[in-house]
Amino acid sequence: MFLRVGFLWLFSNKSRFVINLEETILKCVSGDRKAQTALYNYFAGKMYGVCLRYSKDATEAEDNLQEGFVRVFTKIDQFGFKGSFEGWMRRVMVNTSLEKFRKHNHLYPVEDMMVFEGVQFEEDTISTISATDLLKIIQELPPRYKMVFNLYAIEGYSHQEIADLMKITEGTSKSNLSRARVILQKKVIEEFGLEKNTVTTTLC
Amino acid sequence: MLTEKRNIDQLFKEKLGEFEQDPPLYVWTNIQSKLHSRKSERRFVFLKIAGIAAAIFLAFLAGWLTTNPLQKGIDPQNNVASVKEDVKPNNQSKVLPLNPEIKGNKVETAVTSTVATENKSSGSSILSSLATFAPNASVVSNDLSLKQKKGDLVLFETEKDFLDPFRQNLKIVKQLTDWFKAVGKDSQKVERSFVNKAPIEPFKKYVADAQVTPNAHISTKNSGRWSIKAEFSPVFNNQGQNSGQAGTLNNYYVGLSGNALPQETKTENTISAGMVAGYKVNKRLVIKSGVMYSNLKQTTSNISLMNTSQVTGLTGSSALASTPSGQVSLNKVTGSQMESVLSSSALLDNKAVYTVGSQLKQELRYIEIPVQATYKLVDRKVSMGLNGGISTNILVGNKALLSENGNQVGEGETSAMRNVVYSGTVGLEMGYELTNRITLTVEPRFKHFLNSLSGNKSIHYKPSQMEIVTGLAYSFN
Repeated sequence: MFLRVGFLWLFSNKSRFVINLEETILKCVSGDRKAQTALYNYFAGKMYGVCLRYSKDATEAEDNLQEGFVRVFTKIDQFGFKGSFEGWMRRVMVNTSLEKFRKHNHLYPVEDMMVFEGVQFEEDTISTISATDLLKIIQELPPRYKMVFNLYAIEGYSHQEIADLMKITEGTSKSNLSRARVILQKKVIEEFGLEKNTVTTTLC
Repeated sequence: MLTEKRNIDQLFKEKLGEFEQDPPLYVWTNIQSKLHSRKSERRFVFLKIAGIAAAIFLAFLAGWLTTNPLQKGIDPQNNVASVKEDVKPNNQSKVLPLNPEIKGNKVETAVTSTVATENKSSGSSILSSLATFAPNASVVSNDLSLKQKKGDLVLFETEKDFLDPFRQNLKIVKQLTDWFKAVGKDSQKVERSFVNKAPIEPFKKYVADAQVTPNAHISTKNSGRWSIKAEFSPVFNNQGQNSGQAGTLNNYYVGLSGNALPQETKTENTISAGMVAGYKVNKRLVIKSGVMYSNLKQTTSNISLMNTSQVTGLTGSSALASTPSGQVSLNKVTGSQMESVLSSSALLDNKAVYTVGSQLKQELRYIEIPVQATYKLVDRKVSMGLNGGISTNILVGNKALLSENGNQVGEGETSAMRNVVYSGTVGLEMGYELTNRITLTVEPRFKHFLNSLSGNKSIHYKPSQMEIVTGLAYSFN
C-alpha cells in the first residue's frame, strides 16, 4: 500500500472505492471538493487510527484528525510528490497531535533511569489480545509516556529524534520510554490474566 | 517446537501499527466547514489589505491637498487670462481696440482694471481679457528670471527643494512595508506556526524513501525576497483634460494671417525607462520602488502669440502663447514671418496674433519615483498579478520650441509648471520565469496624473497615459 505515487491506483482494503492518487492530489491542490472528499474517505480510517494512539480519548483524536486534515488540504501543494503521500500525511497527524500535547502539557525532565524488566509474550497469547484493547491501554498512559512510546516503538524514531521533536533530552526520552514499557507490560499482564509461565522475563 | 515470542514494543507495533478505525461522520462535515471558513478568511484578509491601501491613498491625498506643493512666486489670480462672458471670434475685424490701461506699461494698474472690468457689462469683456493676459506675462517673465538658469531646464532653487520628494517617498515606502508586513503576519499566522514547528524527519517504519522535502519550486520562490528590475515602455499619451481658460486666446485672431484656423494641440507618444527594486513581503505581495524617467510631448499648431516685450519692458522679441498645458513664454523669436508678426503694429499694441505655418512643441521631462504594490494571483513559472501604486514625479526638464515651416524660430518653456506632481498607476503584471533568478515581465499599465501639471489654478492639465512596460527582473538570494 505504500508505493510511490504517480502511477498508482489505490484500492481500499475494504474495497469500497478506487482512487488515482496522483490525480486526486493534483485536484486537491486546486481545491476540488470532490477530490478532497475522495482523499478523506480513503485515508480517514488510517489517520484516525494514528490520532487515537496519541490521544487520551476519541474526542481528542477527532479534534486532532480534523485539524490534521485541514492542514493536509491547505498544505497539500507542499507535498511535492517526493516519497510516500501516506507517510507525509501521517507526519502531519503526528505533528498535530504533538503540538496539541505541547500546548497542554509541560514537560518535566525525568532523568532517573529505572530498570525495565522486559517480558516476552508467546504468540498464542498475543492472538487473544485485540487491537482495541491495546489502544485503550496505550490511551491511559500519562501523556508524555504515550508520546515517547508511540514515537519510538510504533513510528520508529530514535531517541535523538524524539528529543529534538519534544524539546527534551535523550535521557528523558529513554526514561519515559522505560516507564511507559513498565506500565504497559504490567497492564497487559493484568488485563489479560497472563500466567507467569507464558512470559519470559528479560532485563533491558 | 519453539513458539515465536514478542516483547512489549513488538506487541504494540504489530497490533496498532496498521490500526484503522472509521471516524464519526461529523468530522468530515467539520473539516469542510473549516476549509470553507478559511477561504472566507483569506478573502477578508485581501479586503483588509485593499482597505488599508485605500486608506493610505486617501491619507496621501489628504496630506497632499493640505500641504499643496505648488511652486512659489506666482499669484494665480494674476496668472490667468480669464474671460467669463461669451466671446465669439471676430473674423471680419481682426484688429481689436486698444486697452488704454495697458498702454502705459503699468502692470499694477492693469490688474486693478481687470477686476473692475470683469464686473462690468459684457461690452468690455474683450478688453478685460487682454488686460489680464498682459500682467500675466509680466509675472511669468519675472518668475522665469528667478528660476531659469539654463535655456530649457528649470533647476531647483535649493537642495532642499530637490531632496524633499525623495525623503517623502522613502517615508511612504517604509510605512507601506510595515503595514503590509503586519497584515501579512495575520494572514500567514497559521501557516508559519505549522511550517516552523513541523519536523521533517521521516518515519522509518512507513517508507524508506519518505524523505519529503518541501516543494522545490515553492522554496525557490520564497527564498528571494529582494529583486531588481530594469523597465522600458512606450508611452501612449491621451489628451489631458483641460477645463481651464488658458486657451481663451484661441478665440482671438489678430494680425497678418488671412484665415483663422482653430488652434490644435496633439500629444505625442513617448518612452519611459528606469530601474525598480522589489521586496517580497509575503508569498503574494511585493512592494516596489525605484527611479523612472518619463516625458510628455505635445505639439500645438496654428498658435496665437502675444508680444510680451512691450508689457514687460524687455528689449528683443519675446512672445507668449497659450496651450492646454499652460502659457508658453518664448524668447529670441526669429524668422521672417514671426518677426514681422511680432513687430507689427497690432502686436506692439499688445494684441494676440494668429500665425500660420507655425508649430509649438512642448516637452516636459520627469523623474518618477514610484511606490507600487503587486498582489500575485498566480505565482508559478508563468505569473500574473495586479499592480497599483502612486508615483512622485519631479520636473527636470521643461522645453518649448517654436518652429515656422520646419525651421526653429524661437524657444522657451511652459510657464507655471509644478516642480512635483503625483500620479497613480494600475495595471496587470504578467511574468515568465526564464531562469530561477531572471523573470521577463510584461505589464500593461494605466497612469493618471492626480494633480494638474500646471501650478496655475485655472488650468487642470491631468494627462493619462497607457504604458506597455517590458521588464527584466533579477531575484537575489
